[in-house]
Amino acid sequence: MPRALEYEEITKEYRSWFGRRRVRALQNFSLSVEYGEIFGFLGPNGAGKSTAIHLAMGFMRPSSGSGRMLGQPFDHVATRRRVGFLAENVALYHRRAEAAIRFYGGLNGLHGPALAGATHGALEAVDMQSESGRNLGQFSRGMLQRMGLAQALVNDPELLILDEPTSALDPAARVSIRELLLRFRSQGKTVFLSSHLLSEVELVCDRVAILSHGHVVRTGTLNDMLEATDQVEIVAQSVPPALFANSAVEGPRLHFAVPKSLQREAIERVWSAGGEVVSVNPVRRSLEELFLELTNPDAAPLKLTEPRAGK
Amino acid sequence: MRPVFLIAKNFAREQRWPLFFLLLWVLGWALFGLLDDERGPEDALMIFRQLAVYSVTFGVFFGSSAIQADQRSRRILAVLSKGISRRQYIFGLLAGIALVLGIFCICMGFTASWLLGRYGFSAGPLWFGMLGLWTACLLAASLTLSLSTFLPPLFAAIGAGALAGVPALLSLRGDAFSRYVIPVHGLLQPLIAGDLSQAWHASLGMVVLGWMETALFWLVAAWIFSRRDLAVAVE
Repeated sequence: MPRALEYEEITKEYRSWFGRRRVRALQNFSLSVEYGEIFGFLGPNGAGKSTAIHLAMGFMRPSSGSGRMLGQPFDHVATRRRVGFLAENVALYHRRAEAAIRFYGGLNGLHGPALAGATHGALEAVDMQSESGRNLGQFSRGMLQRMGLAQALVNDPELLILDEPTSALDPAARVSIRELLLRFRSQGKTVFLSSHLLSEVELVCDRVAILSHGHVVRTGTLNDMLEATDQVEIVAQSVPPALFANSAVEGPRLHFAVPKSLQREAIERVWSAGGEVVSVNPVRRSLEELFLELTNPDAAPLKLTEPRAGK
Repeated sequence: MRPVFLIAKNFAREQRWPLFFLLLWVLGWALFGLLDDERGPEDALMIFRQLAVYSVTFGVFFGSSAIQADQRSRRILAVLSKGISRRQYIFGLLAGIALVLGIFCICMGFTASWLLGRYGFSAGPLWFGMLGLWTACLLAASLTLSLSTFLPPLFAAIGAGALAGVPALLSLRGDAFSRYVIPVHGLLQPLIAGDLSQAWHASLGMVVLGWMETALFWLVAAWIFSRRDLAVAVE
């Protein structure tokens, strides 16, 4: 089945002159992005995210392995006309905003009234129409980032590849970009979103992949990933707090977490103490917790409570 | 072809200040002719020859820095993420250099035909000489551009100087074949060695050869650049 973006066992090594020094940015990297989803691509600095994106855009070649974008091999020129790309730290030629977007649209083969309409639409989408006559050299970083997004949208792409699209934006602009991405998905288009803003990713992405040291350490839907712990949180009432270690009291209710294997035993202890179980739910980690756990092995593990033994 | 044209136009726009500086030189030369009526043609010819050499130097400068400037500023990412090939990109840069130096050569040609015409020189051979000069500039730029695909700008410029200079030296020592290898000097010679008593002309064959070698270096540049990873600064 064709996929919007597909990496197959890609390894990428950077070599110094004469090949004396080698840095392996990606190692046996495989990933699939389905059509019509917003896919979050996460990883710490130096994990290889930008390398993976640059490979897809044909800026560099893999040392081994292969990949496909919209059904064609990477670096297929005609396919790039159906793709929108926003680089990290966007840099555009300093000219009037409208002329700049017309230039980038023209590079994608647009011309005449179609180009004029697409330019207008792209500026409108990022709320920059009022600035269309100003030179990009006078823009703030946030405005430049919106212009970068406009040049990525000007060709009405099927696949949008965004490298840190909201890093310089204020909260209001972030909300509008988030809405833009959701609208984009509702039109059946695909977004490949690399970001450090985990809260943003949590809000818009259908699936995420977490990259560490050049390979994917976890991929899946957000629900699956965040619920994938062996802990459940139990809320009970009319139970003495001393019954469970590290429990938290909120009004008449007691909150505590136990491993799934001890769930039944904990519930029976609540009942035998004359209490009532209000709810039992899988513990959901935040994406940030999961990210740190997967990308930083030295980070402190999640502290979850266990029922006190005996008595 | 439209993306190539857009890149060329954009390059010319980005280089408007160096072009303005070059045109100021031509303007200065024109003012010299206007104000200094007493002197003979030698001074005017000397400035003309200087300008011819400077234009080739600027060709090398444009060729060495075109790709690097886009890479250093990271602007190349937004360009090459569009539906254009690296070969088109290189062609666009070369066409942009041709446009900038073409504007310069035309302005220089008009000034020369007015100024040197006052000393009895006919415009026809001069304009053919300007075609030769433009070709020499483009050939130098194309050679430097191909070297800049894998060398830093300074080394690319030095390398281009060496590659174009060695055949020129050999041809000056009498080696007939060397005259046709990267014939920057061969194309410039009628302008820098001629005087008013001689008919200035560049050989049409040499101009055609210059164009062919320019195209060859463009293909070499495109071939190398398509096979190289795009190295962009992190910030």
